[in-house]
Amino acid sequence: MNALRYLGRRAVSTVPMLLLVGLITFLLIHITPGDPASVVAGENATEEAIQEARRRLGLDKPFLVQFVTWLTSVLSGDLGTSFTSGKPVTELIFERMPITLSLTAGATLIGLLIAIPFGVFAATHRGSWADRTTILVTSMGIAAPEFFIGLLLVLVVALEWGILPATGYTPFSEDPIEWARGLILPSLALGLGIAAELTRQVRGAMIDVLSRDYIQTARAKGLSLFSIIVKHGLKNAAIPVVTVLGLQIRRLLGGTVIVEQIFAMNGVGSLAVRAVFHRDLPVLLGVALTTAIIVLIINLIVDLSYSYFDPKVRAG
Amino acid sequence: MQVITRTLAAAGLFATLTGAANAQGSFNTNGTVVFYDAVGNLTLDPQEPQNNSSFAQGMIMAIFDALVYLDPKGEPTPGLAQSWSYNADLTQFTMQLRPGVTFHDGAPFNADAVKKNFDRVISLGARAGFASLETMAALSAIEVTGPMEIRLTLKEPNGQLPYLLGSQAGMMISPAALEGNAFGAQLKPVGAGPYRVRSAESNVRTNATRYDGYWGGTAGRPAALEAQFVPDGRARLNALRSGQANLALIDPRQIAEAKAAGLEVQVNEKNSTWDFYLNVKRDNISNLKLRQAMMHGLDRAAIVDALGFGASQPTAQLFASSSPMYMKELDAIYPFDPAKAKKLVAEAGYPNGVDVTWLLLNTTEYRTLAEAIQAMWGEVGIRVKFDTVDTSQFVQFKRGPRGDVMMARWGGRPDPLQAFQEVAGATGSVNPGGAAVPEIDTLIAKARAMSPDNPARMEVLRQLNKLTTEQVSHIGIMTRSAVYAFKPGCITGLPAYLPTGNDRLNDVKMGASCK
Repeated sequence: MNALRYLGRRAVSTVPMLLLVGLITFLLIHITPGDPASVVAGENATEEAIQEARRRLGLDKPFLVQFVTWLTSVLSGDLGTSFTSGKPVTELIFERMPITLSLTAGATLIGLLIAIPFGVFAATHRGSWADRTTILVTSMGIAAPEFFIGLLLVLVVALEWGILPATGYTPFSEDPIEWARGLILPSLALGLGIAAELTRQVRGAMIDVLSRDYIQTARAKGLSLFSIIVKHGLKNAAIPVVTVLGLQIRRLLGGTVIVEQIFAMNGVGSLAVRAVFHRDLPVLLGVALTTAIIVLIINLIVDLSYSYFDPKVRAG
Repeated sequence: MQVITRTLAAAGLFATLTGAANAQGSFNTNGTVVFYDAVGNLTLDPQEPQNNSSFAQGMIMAIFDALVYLDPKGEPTPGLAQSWSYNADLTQFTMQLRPGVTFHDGAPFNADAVKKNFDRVISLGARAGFASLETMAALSAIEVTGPMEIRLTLKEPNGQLPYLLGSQAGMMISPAALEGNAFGAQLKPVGAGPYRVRSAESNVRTNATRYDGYWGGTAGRPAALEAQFVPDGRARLNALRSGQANLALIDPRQIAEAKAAGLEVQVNEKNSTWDFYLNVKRDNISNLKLRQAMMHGLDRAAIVDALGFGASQPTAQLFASSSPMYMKELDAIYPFDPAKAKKLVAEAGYPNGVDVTWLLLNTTEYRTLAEAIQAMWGEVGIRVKFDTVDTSQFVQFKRGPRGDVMMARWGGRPDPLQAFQEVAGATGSVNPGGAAVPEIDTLIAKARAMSPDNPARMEVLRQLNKLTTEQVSHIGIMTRSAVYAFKPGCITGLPAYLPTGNDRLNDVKMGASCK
């Protein structure tokens, strides 16, 4: 019951947040130079055609009227219609969301698969050559931007070795193997940065946990190191790691914009980039709102996970 | 094998290539040409404004056959209209339509279908693209005079119809698709071209399959054509190298890289140029001596060397060197001569130099070129101040309030006369100051009242080219090319198509060994 009440409170608190996101995005788009009506009317359009496009798109109305019209439409579940393609924004986002979500999930998986073993290994071998190497490599991983890693991976793995495709996305329903092959490089480009950040977090948290009395007691009782790490260490070290993971997933959503360009994937990031170039306001607003909702859901999941990892939080 | 093919006079070359390969039966007719393009299509409606852009025509032309074909040099030849004729005073234009043509949905092509298409463009009004509007604005009546004959009555003598009907206004859509006033994304893209649409995703990809009922035949054509819009040049080249694409439009700066990777590179020079539009109503620009100084102060050869990457030629004109309109002698009128330029600036009444405001469109490509020219003109006393705007704000120049000059990528037009109308004529869409001298409008009117088959028309156009260059109605910088890369021997049938900014995909073929 408490949990339900908590979820209800959180859901209500997201409403002003989403409103604010909508308002700020609306404002930012309107103060950005550029004229959507000119873009829609096309190259060499007459003044009459531009005005007709402005009227048709509702851009001739005052700012507040435009915002309220959009908001009313959003509240009824309609994100509007793309200025340029004429398709419903919801449909455009849903068409592309599987690509971005696959990419984000792939990157997160890669991050975790690398971070947990390497972080634990570095923590259990603190001060060793392997530990120092881990710190050095993760520092480089954090510093290297996604586009750099992406281009390097394409150059070596796709173009030199020719073992994975350099671009494109195959839907899972069409060919699961090609879907996976196409996701490896972009997920690595996105995920290696996360892996570096998480490895350091896992290492730090595990060093802290491994120095606690209950771990010493477990050791004194003769439990194996593996058993101590899995049963006691990882769960107790999880809270700071999950917090950082939540932050990193938000970063990933931003990173997909770049990675989708490099790998010619038509996900939500790419949709946003094209919407910027075409001044497609409804699409931009829809993408901003959807991304904000995803981030709020991730925040909620992270918060809820605290009570799983730490019973004291649940009791509180 | 690393080969650069410069396709200049491509009609003959194309015939040779396709003829030879056909004879050997060496085409892959079961494969798919996957083309990674730098331009996408928001919708597949030829009348939609975005598709009136000179740079968005590749797939559109392959789907929607036009009444008139323009040959690679831009001259009108029969398309869905088998023949046409004007009356004596060029106020009536009658077309005999090609029999036996069907649209992709099986509907017959006839005079009623043509009328329905024209009526639809007229009813769209300002929603239609500029090229279609321009054509319809010339008409006062459309009459079906027989099952396969249609007569257009013109508001005034106009010899441009064959050219105009070779572009968007002449692209025929199946009458069934036009029911219910479908427009833009709502239109079912059913044409009569060699490829029928299987699926399309706005500004992402268009998949089309060979139309076996195409009146022009299917010999040698690949089974399917897929165009993907990939804005990043590096991704396009990477896709080609790793096999996701078998044809890619690459950036000129990637030519060396593509060659080094063993790819074949084809440079199709276009009637598309980097050009300055001038507002001759401005105090400074109205002075011919200053305009001449700008011409002399421009080191086109250096610009081409540094920024052309082998895909551009220096020119002061609006045409490719392979165009019948190109006049070599005009490029010698204003050679690079900084001393003379400086003298002309002083003679124009600016002994201490002059300020010129340049409405600069804010892209890396534009800025790189702009900074080079700013430095050159600075040396001769022309102090350029950039007024930087988003690309969608270039109307600020067209309307006149901002910018003495503006540089842009001129995309070419089906009729060379249109180039002069737009850039140098009194009502030109990129010429806010009007004609530099009244004779320009006189010559434009004279050429408009001549039919394409009148030999005197070309003479008038050449006079216009000479006059607009001498009077510096615009300042050409260098030509632009569409640069393609593909695996050696993989792609043929993609000649330079001068009338638009990009090339026709209608007759593209795959080599037998190409996948």
